[in-house]
Parts: sequence; structure tokens; C-alpha cells
Amino acid sequence: MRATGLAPQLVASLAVSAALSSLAAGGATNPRSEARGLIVQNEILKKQIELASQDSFVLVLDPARETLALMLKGAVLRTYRVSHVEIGDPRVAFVSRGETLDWQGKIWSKGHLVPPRQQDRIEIVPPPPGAGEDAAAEPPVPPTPEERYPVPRRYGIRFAEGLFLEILPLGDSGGGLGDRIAAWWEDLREVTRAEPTDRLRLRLSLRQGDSEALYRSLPPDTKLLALPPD
Amino acid sequence: MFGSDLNAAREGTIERSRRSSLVFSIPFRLRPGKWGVAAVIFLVVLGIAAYGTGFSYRPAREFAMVLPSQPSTNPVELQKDLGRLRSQQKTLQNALRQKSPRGTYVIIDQTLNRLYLKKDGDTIFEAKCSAGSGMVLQEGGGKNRRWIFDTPRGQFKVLQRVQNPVWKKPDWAFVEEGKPIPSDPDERFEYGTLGEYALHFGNGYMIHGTLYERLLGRSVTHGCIRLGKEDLRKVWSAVPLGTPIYIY
Repeated sequence: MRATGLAPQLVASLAVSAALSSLAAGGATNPRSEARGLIVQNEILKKQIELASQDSFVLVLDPARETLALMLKGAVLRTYRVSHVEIGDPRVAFVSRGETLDWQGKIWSKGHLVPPRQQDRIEIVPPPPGAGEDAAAEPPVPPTPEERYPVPRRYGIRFAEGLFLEILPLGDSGGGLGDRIAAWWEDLREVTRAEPTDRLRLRLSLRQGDSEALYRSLPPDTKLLALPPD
Repeated sequence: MFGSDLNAAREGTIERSRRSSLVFSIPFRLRPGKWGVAAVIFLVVLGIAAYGTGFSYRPAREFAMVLPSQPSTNPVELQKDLGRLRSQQKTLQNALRQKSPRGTYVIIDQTLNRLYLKKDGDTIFEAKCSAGSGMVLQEGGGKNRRWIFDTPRGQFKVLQRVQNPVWKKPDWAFVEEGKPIPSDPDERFEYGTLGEYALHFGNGYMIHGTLYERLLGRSVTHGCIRLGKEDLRKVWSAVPLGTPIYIY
């Protein structure tokens, strides 16, 4: 189905719904399975309508179609291609302490970058009043976005409800031995807390350009909606 | 002890000496006694536990969503549910379609300084622009006014289209230059600095032209969106009043 006039994420969502409906019309599937599928799709549609009615930026993750879309009010602002979506359970001595039941179809809120994007605000110093026509100093030429916001090799987006979305560049090998030890140590400290900050982690691989663009452009307090498989 | 007994004893002693020489070559304080062995075992167990501590990753292929309800097992009820769910789905799909933009709209990435002209979800045009610098201007002389030159994020729409716009300079423009704020409104007007066109989208923010095209792609403005001359002409011709603008 090609639906013109609609954003790709919406097309995907409606296409799945249409497929389910056509199967129902043909009677080709188990009615109970079909009903379950419709319940899932309707819940997702309700969540998407709820998010499109708010003023919040939203990331919509579709692991089946390998896309991560930044959206606002139902408009897709940018789509990032995603590879290798993985889910990480926190465990201590091989015993899981995580909750993995309902990370799909749920709205995760107040996403913020870890480490945060540094913004140094330059204060303009105006010349004293009456200093003359040419006294105003030429403001410095600001850096390009690439210079202004260096992107860490690995970063994440932490949501208030305990989900951490880790972003890796495609082909990332984990860095050197020091990087891996540092990452392992951070994970160890995180999972051994009495109240872990991250109850669940999702790990995505993005192309280098997309990974950097997402880090530089992500608005504050972005929400996340992960879609279930078809 | 006699003869062969003596030799046997001597050989036994030598053999015991060889075996124990390994032990006796270790400094006395490091010889593994029972506590040492326990410590080694403890460290090995700790190491294995540490290896199994952290985050364990697997491909995210499973269904992991809590459903608000489950389908009925009664065949008659199930058929009714199916009809209701299909009807509900159509309603929801229509509602979601209404929320999405249709026709022409503008998307601006203010960090990467890019403007995208979209039509029906497809990008028909992309341009380098300049967004707010994020700089801060504090008014001196004991006054408390402070301006932060950010471009706002969110959804807006084109409220006004102006050809050959004239800039009515706000107070900060005079403060920034160290000039007194004029009492005569006519002294605020500046001609030619905004280019050929301006598209207002609220609170004094506009998409307009610039005299400094070499700085396009950098965050240099006081909050407005600047475009180069040719790009501004294309946007002007494609964007009517009421066109949605999304800035992130």
C-alpha cells in the first residue's frame, strides 16, 4: 500500500493495520490471533494520537523496519536508519534484576542525553553608551555545528522511567581495552545499586552520520515510543 | 641403618627434597596454606560473578507489550469483538491521519542549520540556513534586561508574508551596539538587511534573507532563520500563509 500525503512512520503503522484487516476479511487467520493483533495495533494508534496531540518531541523506534523517527505533532522531522536493535537486561552474578515485559507500546518520557550536549553561552559585551559608530565589536564567527558539538563515540538517551537508549555507531568494536574496562566498570556500578537508574537498556547501531546528527539535534525532554513487531 | 637401607633412605630424602624444593623455593610468607587456597577460590568465584554482572544483550525480536485486554474465548463474543476492533481501528487511523501534516510544510534543524521544504512527506528542497546563536546579551547601566538569542523549538505556522521587509529594530539591537534606545519610532527602521522576503511565524521570529551569506550553516542569528537569496526565493514561492513550520 502506498499512501501519499502521510509520513513514513504513519504509513508503516497504517500498512500493518490494513494487512491485519485484509487478512480478517479473507478469514485466513485464527480469529483470536487476529483479534489480538487488532488490540495491539489499536493500542499503538491510541498512543500515537496521544503523542501527536502534545507539544512534545517523540522518538518512535520501529525495530521491525529498522527506523528511529523524530516526530512532533504527527510530523516526521527526521528518520534515522537503525541496525542491530538489542535489549539489555541488568544482571548480577548471572541473575537478572531487570524488567523486560512492557518496553514496547509504552511512552517513555523526559529523555535526556548522556553525556549531555555542552552548550557554552557566550555573553555579548556591548560597548559603553555613546562610544561611537564603530565601537561595537564585530562578534566572533561561531564554530560550525561539528566543531561546536563533538560527539562521544558512545552515548545514550536516559528516560525517566528507567530505560536507557544506548546509541553506537555502526561497526563499533567497543573501543580499546581501556574503553571496554571503563564501560564494564560503569555497568557494574549501575547494576549493583540498590535502586538501579537503568531498569532496561536498548542498544541501537546507527550509521556514523545519523548517530552524530541525533546527538547534535535531539531536543530536550524527548519522549520515546517503541513499536512491537508485526 | 645399613647399606641398601641407607641408600634407599638417602634417595627418598633426595626425592622428597626435589618435591619440596619447589615449595621451599617460594618465600615462606607466600606459601599457600589453607587460607591462601580459600582466598584464591574466593577470588576466582568473585571474578566469575563479576564477569556475569552488567548488562546482558540479546536481539530485540520478541513481543514485549502488556495488552489492555485479551480476546474472548467464546466464538460468538470473539466475532463481536472483531467487528468492534476493526471499526475502532478505522476511526483511530482517520484520527491519526488528521494529526499529520498534509501538503507543504517546512522543517528546520536549528542545530545543524538546515531547512527542509516538504510536500506530502517527501523532501522537495533542502537549504543551508542560520539559526540562533545562543548568545546572551545583558543590558548594562543597572538595568536588568537580558536577552538569549535562541531559535524557539516547536510547531509554528506562517502568519505573515512580507516582500522587501523593513526591520524594525528592537531594543536589544541598540543595546548590542552600545547606542541609546531611540524614543522616535522612525529611528528604529532599517532597510535592506532582511533580504527580499520575510515569513513571520510569531513573537518577532521570521525566515528572512541575509547580507552575510558566507555565515550560512552557522548559528549566528538573534533567533530568526536566515536563508541565502536564491533559497529564500524558492521557499517564498512554495510556502503560502498558514504553512506549518516545525523547528527542532
